[in-house]
Amino acid sequence: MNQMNMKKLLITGMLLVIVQVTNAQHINNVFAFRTEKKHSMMLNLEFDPALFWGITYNRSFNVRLGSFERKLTSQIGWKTFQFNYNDLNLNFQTTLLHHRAKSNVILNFGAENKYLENKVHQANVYNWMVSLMPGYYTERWYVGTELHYKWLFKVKYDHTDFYREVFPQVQDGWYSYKNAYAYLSLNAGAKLSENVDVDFRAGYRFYYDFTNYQPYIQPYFTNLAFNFRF
Amino acid sequence: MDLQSIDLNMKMKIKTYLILALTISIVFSACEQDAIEVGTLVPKTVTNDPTLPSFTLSDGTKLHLETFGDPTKPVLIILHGGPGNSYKPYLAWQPLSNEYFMVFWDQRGAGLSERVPSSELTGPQYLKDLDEIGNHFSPERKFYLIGHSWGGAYAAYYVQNHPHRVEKLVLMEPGPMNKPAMENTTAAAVDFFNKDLQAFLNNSDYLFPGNDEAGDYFRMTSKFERQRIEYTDTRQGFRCNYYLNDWRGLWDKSYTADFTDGIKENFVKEVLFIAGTTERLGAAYQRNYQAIHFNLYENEVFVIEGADHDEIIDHPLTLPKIRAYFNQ
Repeated sequence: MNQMNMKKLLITGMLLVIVQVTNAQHINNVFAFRTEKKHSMMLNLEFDPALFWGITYNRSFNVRLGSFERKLTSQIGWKTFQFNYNDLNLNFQTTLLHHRAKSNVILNFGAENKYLENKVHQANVYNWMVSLMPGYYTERWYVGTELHYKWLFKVKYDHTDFYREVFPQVQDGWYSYKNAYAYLSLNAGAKLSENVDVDFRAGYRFYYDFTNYQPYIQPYFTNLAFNFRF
Repeated sequence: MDLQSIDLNMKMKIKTYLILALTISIVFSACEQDAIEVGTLVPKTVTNDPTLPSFTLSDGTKLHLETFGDPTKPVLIILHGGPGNSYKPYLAWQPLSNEYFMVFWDQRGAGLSERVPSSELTGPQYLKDLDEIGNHFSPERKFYLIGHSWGGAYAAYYVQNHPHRVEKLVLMEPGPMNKPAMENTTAAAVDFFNKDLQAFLNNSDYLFPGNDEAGDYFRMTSKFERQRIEYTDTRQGFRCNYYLNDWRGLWDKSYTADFTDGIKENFVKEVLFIAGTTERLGAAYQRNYQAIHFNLYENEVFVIEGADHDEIIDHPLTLPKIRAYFNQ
């Protein structure tokens, strides 16, 4: 197998494994492209409009793709507000141009698993996500615009006894959905010191047909994250 | 990691992961059900369950409708809340079928009635539907009408347009009927850290309302979180709620619907207002913004102390009061 086929195989494999593993809103680990440190921990506060706090571990790799070496950062994160719902995400990020280029585009792709329980069910939701973030990235600060697309592709429902009493015919199991949300945001960040940076994101969430079916819910979201490198 | 350094061992590992991923993919696909499949998450509507009692309107729309009592007796039509809910909770009033021919029905696109295009979920269409039901079951005589919540506002809307078709009118904590009333329902204080509210907000980003089955399921899960546990209404019209409220101008805050204009002059009969005291649509609200537009039975809103918006439906004081009003 030649080198090119091997790369394709590796990328396809990563995507498939991600899909089957798990998918939370992420915030890009931008300064990972500006440092040789391989590890970082990110503390994330989120309002989407539900409240979350989260913790994410980031690991950076140097990968040779195409004609130049580039950085790939992986994130595995967990977020919650109360313990009856949790999000787990696995994301990969890279730059479309050389990682030192100031005008650049960050590609982020990954998967998310969301667990939630209420009076009706315990649900495990699996999402894909992909985002593109064109922006201007210096050594000390950055600003960018991110378009983030989230596609829910599987949900596993286990219904409660309460719901079974009122609707005995309900069926547990895997369900597929065919819809998606998109998120448009303004992102910015700055290095606070050599090993600490802050990232901020604020934006608007819209349903795939641009209808806001939940007008009583504000379609805005924000993230604030502090990243500690080591 | 440099790809050029990947050895044979690594290649084997990647192949193994790929095979594993593909296998899991196939297993997942084989086990899944589409959320569009009817009857697996929420009950089937009259379209898919022929055993349900139904009534077909002249335009072919099938409604979930059930009658009780002697058809020769005066007709009493029940209007449920929502928009989008069903008549199930109101079956508590069935004892009235000894004196009245009762018509319980799920409104167009609501409860277990047929799901219809969004363009049909408007006030004028709802007006036509109720008029047709009234004319079908009570062609010769005026009929009695009870509306709860949205159903109360709907009843007022009907009476405003057809004042001579209604014999008696009961409004139970009716939803807002005009602009001032609508403006004053949205100011309710919200505890943002409330567990149920957070769970509801969390629902919102994963239960996409892509089809009626999924939309109704989403609406029901959020309502279950906030309503009392005995509430047994298991299918609610998600799109029906959205578009009827959109037509009323609730979402863009234009509050264009006005069901009270001219009603006092055209419908001179006394109206029974019933309200609880614990929620935002309770007695104080009804007195200040709604009851002032009607000629009131006993000149006052009938107040059930300590009861919430749903508890007034089957509260022990409710039926005797309705009976006394109907019999006067």
